Order: sequence, then C-alpha cells, then structure tokens
Amino acid sequence: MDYESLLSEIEKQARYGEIRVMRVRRNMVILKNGVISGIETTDETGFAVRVLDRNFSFFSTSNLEPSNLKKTVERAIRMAKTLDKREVKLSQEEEVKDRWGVDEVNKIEDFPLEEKVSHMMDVDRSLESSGVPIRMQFLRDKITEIEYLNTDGSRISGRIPSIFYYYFIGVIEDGNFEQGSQEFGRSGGYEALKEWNLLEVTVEEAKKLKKIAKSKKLPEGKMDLIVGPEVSGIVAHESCGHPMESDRIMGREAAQAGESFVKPNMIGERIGTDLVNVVDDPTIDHSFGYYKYDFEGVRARKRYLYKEGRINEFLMNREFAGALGLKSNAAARSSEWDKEPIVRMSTTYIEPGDFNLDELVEDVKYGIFMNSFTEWNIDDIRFNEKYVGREAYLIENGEIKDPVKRPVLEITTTGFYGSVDGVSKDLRFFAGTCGKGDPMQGVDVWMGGPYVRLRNVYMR
Amino acid sequence: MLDTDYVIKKAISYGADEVSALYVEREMKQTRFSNSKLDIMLNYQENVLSLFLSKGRRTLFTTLRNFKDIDSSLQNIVKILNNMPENKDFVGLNTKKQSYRSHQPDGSLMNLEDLNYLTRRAIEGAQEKGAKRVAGVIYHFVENISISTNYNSAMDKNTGLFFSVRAFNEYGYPGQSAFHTSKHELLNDFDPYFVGEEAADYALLMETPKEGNEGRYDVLFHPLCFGSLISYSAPMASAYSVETGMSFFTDTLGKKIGSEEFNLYDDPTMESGVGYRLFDDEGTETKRVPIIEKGVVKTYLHNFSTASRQGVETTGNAGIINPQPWQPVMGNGRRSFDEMIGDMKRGLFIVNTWYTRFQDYRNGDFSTIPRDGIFLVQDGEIVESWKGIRISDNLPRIFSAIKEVSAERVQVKWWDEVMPSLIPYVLVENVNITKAR
Repeated sequence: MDYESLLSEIEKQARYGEIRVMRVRRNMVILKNGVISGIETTDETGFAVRVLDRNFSFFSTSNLEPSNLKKTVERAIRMAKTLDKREVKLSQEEEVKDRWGVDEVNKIEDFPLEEKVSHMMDVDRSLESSGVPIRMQFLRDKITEIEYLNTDGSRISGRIPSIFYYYFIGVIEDGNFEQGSQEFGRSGGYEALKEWNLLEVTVEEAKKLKKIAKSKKLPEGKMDLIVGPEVSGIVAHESCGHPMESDRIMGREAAQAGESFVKPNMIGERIGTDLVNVVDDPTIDHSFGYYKYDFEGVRARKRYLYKEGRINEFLMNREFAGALGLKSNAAARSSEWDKEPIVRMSTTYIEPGDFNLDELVEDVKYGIFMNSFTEWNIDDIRFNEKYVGREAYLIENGEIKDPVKRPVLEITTTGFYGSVDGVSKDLRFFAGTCGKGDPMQGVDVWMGGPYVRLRNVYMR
Repeated sequence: MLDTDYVIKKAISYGADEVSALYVEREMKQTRFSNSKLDIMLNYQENVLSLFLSKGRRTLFTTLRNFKDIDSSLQNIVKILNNMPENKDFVGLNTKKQSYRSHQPDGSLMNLEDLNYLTRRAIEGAQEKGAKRVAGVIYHFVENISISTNYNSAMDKNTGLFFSVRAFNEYGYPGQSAFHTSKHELLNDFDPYFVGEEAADYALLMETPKEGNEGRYDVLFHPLCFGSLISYSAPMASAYSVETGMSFFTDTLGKKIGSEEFNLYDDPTMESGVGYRLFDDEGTETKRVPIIEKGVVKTYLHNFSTASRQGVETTGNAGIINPQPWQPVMGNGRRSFDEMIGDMKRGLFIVNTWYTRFQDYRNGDFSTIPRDGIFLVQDGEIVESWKGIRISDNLPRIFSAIKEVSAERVQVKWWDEVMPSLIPYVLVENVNITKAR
C-alpha cells in the first residue's frame, strides 16, 4: 500500500497527521498445575491514523484493502476538521529517517514450541516436588514491527522482539496460605530463559513462602525500613513515574487513571532527601520497555524525573511539551496498533548510591527488611500509597533475623522519599505491565532500583 | 459478514476435530474530554475471527483479521494444531443443540451518530451544576457477531452506549458518575447531561475534604463503588479460577459466604445493558446464572470442559480456557437510598473506588482506595467529606456484613474497574478503614 499518498492527502487538508502500521506476531502458553490449559498464536496487522486540525481524530482498522484505508483516512481528516475546536500546539521536533531493531540471540521465530513447553513443565515439576499446590505459569513471545510516517517528514521502521514470563504460586503451611508471583520481561530473543534461571528462582520463592506462611506479624509502630530492589522499583514507578506524566499533570487522564499531586509550576520543588534520584530511560539495551523512537517519531533519551530530591523533568509527548513551551522527551507510546499514543513510562528506577546492603543493615537497631511485595496500591493523584511485604524480615541490632508476615507500609510519596537516608550500589530491574488510558493500554515496562533505607516510618 | 459455517467446514476438512469460529464485526466510536473540552474523537473498526480448534486433546487458539486467503490460513493453522501438546483439561465443545432466544437490538440507539453533541451535554450538565472542570469518556458501538461450532450456529447484533463523567469543584476535588445502556429510552433518565450533573453534585458536596480517620465504620456503598468490588469478585467464581485455588470461592459451593441480603447473578440476558450476550464462546446460549443467593454460593461459572470435569451442566460462560461473567447483577431490597442514609447513625458514604489489590486471593484479603466522594454521615446527614483513606478488609467478610441493599439499582460501568453491571446501594457494617501515617 502506498502510505505516502495517504499522508500527502492529510498534509493537503490538515495541520498535522501520522500513519502507523503495525504487525504483531504473538505466541502464548498457559500452564495450570501441570496441565497446558491454553496455547494461542496470532499474527495480525493493523493500520492507525491520527490527524490534527481543529482537534485530534484517531481512526484504526484491520481491513487493509487500499479502498478502505483511503476511506478511513478521509473520515479521519473530515472528523478532525469538524470537531469542536481546541488549541493544540505540538512541540517542534526533528525530522527522522531511520530503521531500528532489537537483536535476538535465540530467535523467537526459530524457537520450537516443544522447548517452551518443556521448560515450563520442568518448572512445574520442580515446584510440585517442592510441595507447591497452586502453580500457574504464562509465557508469551511477541514480535512487533512498526512502520511510522508523519507529515513533518519522519519515516521510521522499528522491530522489537520480546519475551514475557509470569508465575503465580501458592503454598499452604499449617493451614496458612501465602501467595507469590513475579513477572519477567526482556526485549530480545529466547536467550532470556537462560538469563532468568526460572527453575531456581521459582523453587527459592516457594521455600521462602513456606517460611513466611509460618511467620508472625510484628507489633505496629515507628521503625526503620530497608526495601529491596523489587520494592524500590514499584515505588519509583508508582510514586515518581506516574505523577510525572505530563498528561496527568495537565488533566487529560482525569476521568480514568487520574491526575497528579505534581502541578505544572512545581519543577524544582523538593520531594525527598538529596539522595533521591529517579530516572526513566527507554534506551537501556534489552529492557522490556525499550524503544529508540517513540510513537510520535521523537528520539528517546534518559530522563531524570526526580533529581537530588527535587522535581526535575516531566514525561512528555509533543502535545504537552508544546503546551509547556518545551521539546518532547519521547514518552508517547501505544500498547497496540489500534490505540492512540499517550504519555507512558519505559524503565523507571531509583538510581544507585554508595552503600552496600550490609552497611545499610548494620546501622539499624530495630526495623524491617522488605525484599519484595505482594498487595500494593496508590491513589489517583499518586500521593497516598501502600506496599505489603512478601519476603520480609525483622532487623535487630544490625542483623537480619526471622521472617515477618506481610508487614504493611502505608505512606505518602513525600513521606517515603523524605525518609530516605541510605541508597545501595545495587541495581536490579523487574518487569511489569503498566495500565493506563481509556481504552486500557497495558505497556511493557521495567522498574527497579537499589536497596533503600528509610528512617522512622510507621509499619503495621 | 464472514461465513463462519464455511470456516468450520474448511478447518474440519483440513483435519481439525472440533472448531469454534467466533466472528465480530464492530465499529466503536469514542470521545475523550478533559478540562471541559473535547480532547479527541476515536473510531475503531474491527473485523476479527477468534478460532478455537482441537484435534483429540490438542488445542489451539488464534485470531485472524485478514480473510483474503482464508483457506490457506486455515490449512496452516491446522498444521500448527497437529504439533500442539495435549491439553488434558479439554473435554470438548458443547454438543447439545441450542435453541437461541430472539434478540433485537435497539434501532434508534444503533443509529446514534453525534458523540460530539453528547460530549457537550455531559460537560454542560456538570458545569451548570457548578463544576469548574469536567472530564470523561463516551463510547458507542454497533456489532455483528456470529458463531459456528460443529454443533451449533448463531448470529446476533448488539449496540450500546456507555459513558462516565468526572467533575471537579473549585478546590480541585472530584465527583464521578457512570452509566451504560443498550436501550435509547434509558437516556431519558441517564442522558450524559444528568450523569454530568450527578458527578458535579458529588464534587460540590466534597468542598475541601478533611483527612479521614482510621477505624471500623458502617459504609454505604454507591453502586459504582460496590460494582467495583463485584467486578473483582465475579471472575473469581469461574470454575477455572476455583480449580487453580486462587479464588476465595474455592471450596465454597453450597456454603454461606454472604449475608441473607446478598444475591448475585450473572445476567447476560438483561437486554438493557451493554454486557448482553446471546451465546458464549462455545455457542452455548447464555442464561441468568445464580452465583450467590441469600449469601449461599449456588454455582460456579462454567464452560463445557469445566462443567464436564465437575459433573455439572455448562452455565454458558465460556471463555474456552477460563469461564467469565458477562454482566453481574445484584438483587435489590425494599427501601430507598434516601431511607437508608437517613437511618445511618454514624458511617461513611463512598461513591467510587479503584486500585483493588489482593494480598491473599484464596481468602480474599484486599485493599482498595475510595475516590470521587467520601462522606461522613451522622444521624442521617452528610456532615463532612474525607480524603486519604483506604478500605483494608476481606471480601467474604464484607459480603457477610451486608446489612441492607437498596430498592433502586443503577446500570454502572466505568473504565476497566467496573464491568457492565446492575448494582444497588449497599450498606455494610464495620468496614476497616486505614490511612497513611
């Protein structure tokens, strides 16, 4: 199909337009308690056009017949020219012409189904022999190919292969239930399975859950807390990444995922101690949310959201960068071919510091080490949050001791970052699927961080 | 329309044993608005064939969106099927011949065109009540849907409109309201203008909320708020979820998990809602399924395989892997919302909630964050509004503590948090409220 002629039609009639054609090939396997309960394979291609004139219109279709695409583009133009008018000033960005992709060592297309199933069955058997009665696994590979064109002259082709794996297990000890789950994701090929070492990781998790099931809660009160990379990662994502999304800050997500405690004039305001640096970076090799250009054709780069404890830079697409008189920092993403691009995170993490874990622990008289989490949530302005520990231990006189059952940190964003007094040198990333938008768009992300020590926070 | 009978005949001729071909042709329009202005108009054209195939116990799902070379696509898919490992959970598709009820979608709703106008109505409704900013979304869809299996074949046509409005007061605090319908006549009472007004009413009542206090409170849940809890609970009644052991419905069949006032159905036959379905993904005619009656668990939600494994009849809730609820409906009570709130000595009235997460799926321990209107009620009057609280409790305990449900029910649907459902106001005793310290 000649997309150029469709684009030139938009150029003639409207202020701005872009066309995106995506082919997505996806394979999934679901294993439930040793039984393959579902295998799915899809190969689909879709077309989307977004036009800006009096206002934005967005049309998508899976019918790729040239006559239908022409009609779809004409409808999108007509719509954008007749809607209620709204002032939109897109940021001016460089024209890009490029092809990019992510390397695979063990190519998805060559990786046999039998090997995927066999790997999952091995994990299932080892969990079963470890006495785990509830075992769910999910494995998905995906190859996304994107063809992007806009009326500013950009022409970009991208190819992202990725692997995603998720387990959920439950143990029952002396009648007490404990659940554990983790997501693994990486852009690239099936070399990921070797890297993740799932056989060992899942059995280790099961052993820990059994101990936790028999553990006791601590009396509630103020104490020190050290959180592990999984917890510091979710904190970075929820209480820094989300509130720093410019569409929330400007009110566009108000009816769904909500707004933000951060306001447009708060750049430079203190949010935590000087040790707090939180980054969002789409350019980390083989990260789950990797991209070289965003879905508006803007080159991706590392962004410091909180820097030295202060609000530093919002995540922006072209619309909100334009509204703020800035350049986009390439945060526009769509989860699928039929979704509009909106402001999203990629890999969000707390930057490492100077300590090691032992040094953080040895200075704690009485407290908790929360290495991973289970239930969590946060309010829609991203200020009032809760993290419940999964793997957690008592710290007494500088030593990590017995497991503690589901300790609860219920705190505000400034309460969390304002209590940080030590950050370790470590940095680990964890995969997740971030939900936002209406209709809901789940995008692949990493979140991560080091061990982080908080002083004198209320735990229950 | 794609001929789904042709699809199964071809797939069988290439070697598949059983096939379910579900074809949906849908056009959905959407507006998004915020800061009292339209942000974007969206249009989604979808033609998708969802195929399930089996050969012995080998099974495969796939979706097709390009039908140009349907024969060779099917031939390739059956080749892939031949190399699948066995799915020991799979029993088969429903062999029983179905006789489908007649269903006629609402023609006047189907022809609804001007979402731009409805968007203006929603914004005006909220603004004229005094809201300072208005945000929301309006969806309208028309779909043709057909299914063929080896044993059954059916077609249907659906239409619907659903929308939500969030209005903000002068201090930046919101109220919310949402509605769904497949009947144009319901817009007489639930026009986007009126839904905008309701959102603004709650926003204005909020004024400048105080920090809430922890403790145990009687809570009167708005249908939107209780609909959210139901939307997390009903999928856990799926027999598949129960089999995995990750559901608080595990081992509860015939047992009491709620108070006498708690009646919960899955009712895809309710024609006024956008969750209406004539048949499930295996071609079984759907029906009204009692999940909980007078607090007792009556049935799990089944497809043909889960039902066969458990020695019962399918409930028409396939999902071929995981049975699913289509449209949760709660039974209603005798007294009105006004009477219920008028009788509250001291408690909370909560309009909406989000971010419900479980630390224990098997026992139902969870927390969720109230939003869009939290009000302290004393001696039947709203005396102040709150912010910053969380419900940290247990779902079966909440269901057991339902004291009363209202006579009136509302068709609510909001974002991914509330399924299309019909829910009353619900009064629950001693709900545990926590907050950040």
